[in-house]
Amino acid sequence: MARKIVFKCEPKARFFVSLEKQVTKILKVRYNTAMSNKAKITKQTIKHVANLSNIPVSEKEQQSLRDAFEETLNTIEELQSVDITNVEPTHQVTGFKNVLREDKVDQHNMFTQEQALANAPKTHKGFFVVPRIIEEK
Amino acid sequence: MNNTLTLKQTIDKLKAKELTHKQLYKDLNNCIDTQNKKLNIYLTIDKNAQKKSEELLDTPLYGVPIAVKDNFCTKGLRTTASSTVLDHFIPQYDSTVIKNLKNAGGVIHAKTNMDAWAHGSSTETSQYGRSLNPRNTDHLPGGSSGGSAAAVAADMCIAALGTETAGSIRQPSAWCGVVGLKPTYGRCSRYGVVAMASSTDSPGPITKTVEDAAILLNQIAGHDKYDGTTSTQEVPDFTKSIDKGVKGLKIGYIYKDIKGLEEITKIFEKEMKVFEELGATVEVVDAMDPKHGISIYTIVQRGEVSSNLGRFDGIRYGNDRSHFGDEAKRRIMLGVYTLSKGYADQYYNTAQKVRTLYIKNYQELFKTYDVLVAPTSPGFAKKVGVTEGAAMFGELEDLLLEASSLSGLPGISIPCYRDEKTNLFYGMNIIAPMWREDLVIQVADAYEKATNWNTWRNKQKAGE
Amino acid sequence: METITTDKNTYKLVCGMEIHAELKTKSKMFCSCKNDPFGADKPNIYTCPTCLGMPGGLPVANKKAIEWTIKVGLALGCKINLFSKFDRKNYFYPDLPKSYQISQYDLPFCYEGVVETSYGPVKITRIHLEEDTGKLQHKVVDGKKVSLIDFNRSSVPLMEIVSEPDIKSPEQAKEYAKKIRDLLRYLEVADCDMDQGGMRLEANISLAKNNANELPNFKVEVKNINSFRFAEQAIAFEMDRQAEILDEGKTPIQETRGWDSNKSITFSQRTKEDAEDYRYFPDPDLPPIQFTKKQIDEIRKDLPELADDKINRWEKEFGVEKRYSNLIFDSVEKANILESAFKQVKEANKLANLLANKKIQFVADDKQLIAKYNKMFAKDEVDQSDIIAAINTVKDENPNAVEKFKAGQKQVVGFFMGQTLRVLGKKIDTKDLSKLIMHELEK
Repeated sequence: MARKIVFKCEPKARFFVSLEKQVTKILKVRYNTAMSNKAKITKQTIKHVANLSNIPVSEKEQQSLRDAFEETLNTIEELQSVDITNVEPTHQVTGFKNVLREDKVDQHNMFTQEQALANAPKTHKGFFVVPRIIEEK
Repeated sequence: MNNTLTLKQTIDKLKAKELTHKQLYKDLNNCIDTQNKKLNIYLTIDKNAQKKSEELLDTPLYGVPIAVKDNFCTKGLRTTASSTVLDHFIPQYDSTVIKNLKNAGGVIHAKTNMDAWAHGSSTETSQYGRSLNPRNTDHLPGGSSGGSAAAVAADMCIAALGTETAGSIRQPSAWCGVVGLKPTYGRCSRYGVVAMASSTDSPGPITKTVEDAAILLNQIAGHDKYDGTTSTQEVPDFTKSIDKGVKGLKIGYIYKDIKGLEEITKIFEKEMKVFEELGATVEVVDAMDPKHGISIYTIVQRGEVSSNLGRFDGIRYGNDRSHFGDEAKRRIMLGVYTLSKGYADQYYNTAQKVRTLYIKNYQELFKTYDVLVAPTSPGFAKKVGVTEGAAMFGELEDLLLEASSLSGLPGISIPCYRDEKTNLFYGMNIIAPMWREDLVIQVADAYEKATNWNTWRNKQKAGE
Repeated sequence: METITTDKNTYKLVCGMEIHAELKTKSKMFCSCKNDPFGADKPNIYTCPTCLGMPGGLPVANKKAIEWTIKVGLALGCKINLFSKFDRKNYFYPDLPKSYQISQYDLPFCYEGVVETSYGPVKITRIHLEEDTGKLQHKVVDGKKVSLIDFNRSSVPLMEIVSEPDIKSPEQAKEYAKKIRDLLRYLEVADCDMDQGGMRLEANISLAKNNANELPNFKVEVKNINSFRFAEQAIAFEMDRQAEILDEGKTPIQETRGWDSNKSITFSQRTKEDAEDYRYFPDPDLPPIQFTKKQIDEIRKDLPELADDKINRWEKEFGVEKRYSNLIFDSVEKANILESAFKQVKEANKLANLLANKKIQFVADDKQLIAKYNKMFAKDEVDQSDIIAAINTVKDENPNAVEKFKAGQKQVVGFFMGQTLRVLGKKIDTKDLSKLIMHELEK
């Protein structure tokens, strides 16, 4: 899928060179993507994805995950062969639109504080408790 | 044995006072006590169910006990989705479908085993151990609603509920030789059901007969203000489609020439003739190759589930994310991958576009045919242990079902053959246009009554 | 335009602002829980399966919040996306119960608007709607450092207004933010109390060489600014800090910084080398929104007369000076009551003056307002003998002034008038007072 790269700048030499580098990089990634998946699923990839997924993954699991990833990616690559020119994606099969709610408070569906906390592993004076967050959002 | 009654028979007998809950529960509990340990079907049983049933005699469902897949939140009753992440989770609320069931006088007496988080087609990924197929315990019950299908097959319940994302009601129903109805996406509320793939999840009944499925669907379907993807349409009386026959209907037989289906096709072709004998027209017709459904489903499901399972962080409830099983970890991570920067266009958006092609293809076919029929599953229930290490097992098993699930269509699987040696079944999948559950019920009911594959139907014939 | 000149260079400010405002709908954005996080007397009392991220919780969008967002967009001259949707923004943080925030990615409700400031226009890139997170508090419990979480605020509607990097000075930033706040209050969609977290400011700050045409290749995001004054200070601080780095030939690190109001500095919080991967995708639980042009026109018609237009009109119609108008109303409701009062009094500008100087307290009823106004100018009934007595008291206290008068300096009458009124302590019609004073002084 081609992505239009729009840039406005004065043709200063240094900027132009760096832009060319960026464009080449993008094209290279696309080429590699199309050509091979195995090259892409590195240990780094698994670590990065595990991080984004907020899931702890051991060294041992990393290898089996890589294999599973590759198997799956190889299977779904076949989708690239389908002609999807001028096809719109379907995110919602119902075709519904504008399903909206009036601005009213519904007491019946609200939890009491007790219910809200009923399954929490740790609470303190009505709050949920987690170990101190070090990094600010 | 009262636990072998169908839902309709149970209600009729309770109504006519030919049966009491005491008698019913005695037989039911007996069966559970003898079978559950081996089959590993029920994760949680409500000891107070009988008492509740006894107080609901003047209701549409007469207090009949129903077994429910463990991804439906049931107030006060443990709900795990077969994952140890939710090992001690006790919801403070009912899912809407459960509420509807209760309002109709149904009683939830047990929560059934499933593939953890509904990830699979075997029930082997459950973190509480696999369930076994009651028809032949060397084999799996299918999944992810394997526990519910097995509970019905073993007469460990009168009727059950499951959910389907891409085959999870119909496939285990086929493998266990029972009836599984997947309603149109948006017919039954998803509120309170542990979300899997939000754009295809559909709660539905798994029962002994087609009429039972119609009775149950009547009670659980309907618009829900808490679920913005449910239809505001009036729910028709689905039992009106029973005993209607198929005269004059046009049936399209799809997927006949798919590679690998040669064995099952030999038998299936014969069964399709039943419809002709009943007065319908049957035509073999080409549908869009279902294999892309595997890829689409893989991408869309894993993408949506990776987001849906984000909430399980062990802070407000449940255990932390280290408790996720291997299959869940794989799916979440692949979902994150296919949604991530640089890949979303290549995978997620492409998948959603091919999905459109399937929807359009079905719409085209339904211009000519009232329903489309094909085998539910490529073969019999697989042997125990077969899923280990197979990352794409579920998707391949659901090859014939994914496209219709992704399109939101209603479908039903009914038993259409039983192997005498193994006691294993084939299922027949009947699909119709969106919101036309009446058609799938009508056609399925006609076939069920004209053949002998339904084991309860047999019993009815034998006058039991 | 604000420039900062060092020994080596002159730089100009390139700044954009992101403003988040909590909308004051009755219920939350995606569920029907009560929307009152600041007024709740206990934590976690306004929650439900949806905003608490329980299994099976599902969102349904608040119609009013959407209408209000369109309203604000139209008032700011924005274009409206007739087709719009909600997207999931996925990331993990304890105050985000679903581990995704329902927001808008590529089809915000509003886009391309503008705010006029006295320093020039600031264009608005987009306005979108999303849900707020829960609230974290850091405490020590049982000797351990923990964070406490309250989800009363989870899923409260949050409107995000993003500006282009058009802001050229700290003063302009302040004015821009104030104008946004005033508009939101005026339209009665948000209270924007910054100390309650009802309005939050973020600035994206960079410096460019004064004669540069292209945008700088870095930007520093400054968060946790909870007052207009701090916004001004933070931007000014950043300008100094960045100028120093640029002078050394280096580039300021692209990062998020916080504002420390005690030390009056910005401090590093997180580097933004890899921009967060939020894996946006359309939320499958929320059907998209489709407006018709007619619906948007209806909302546009229903827009109240905007504050600036009203102030200009009041000047023409009632003679009320702008400098008073600017101070005496902040909502359409208030303005309507004032206008009704203006129509009924002889000197509307005087009423405006009294309100502006806080001599009269606003009250939400035009008749009562007028009564207060009249009372200020009510003349007491005073006996002439009392007035004369007062004048004589003043005469006794000020013999020099009397002499001056007798010497022909008539202007001391003014002095006597003031003093007489003071001594009298009552309001009287001063029409004939000067005559009376002169009469007494001539005696």
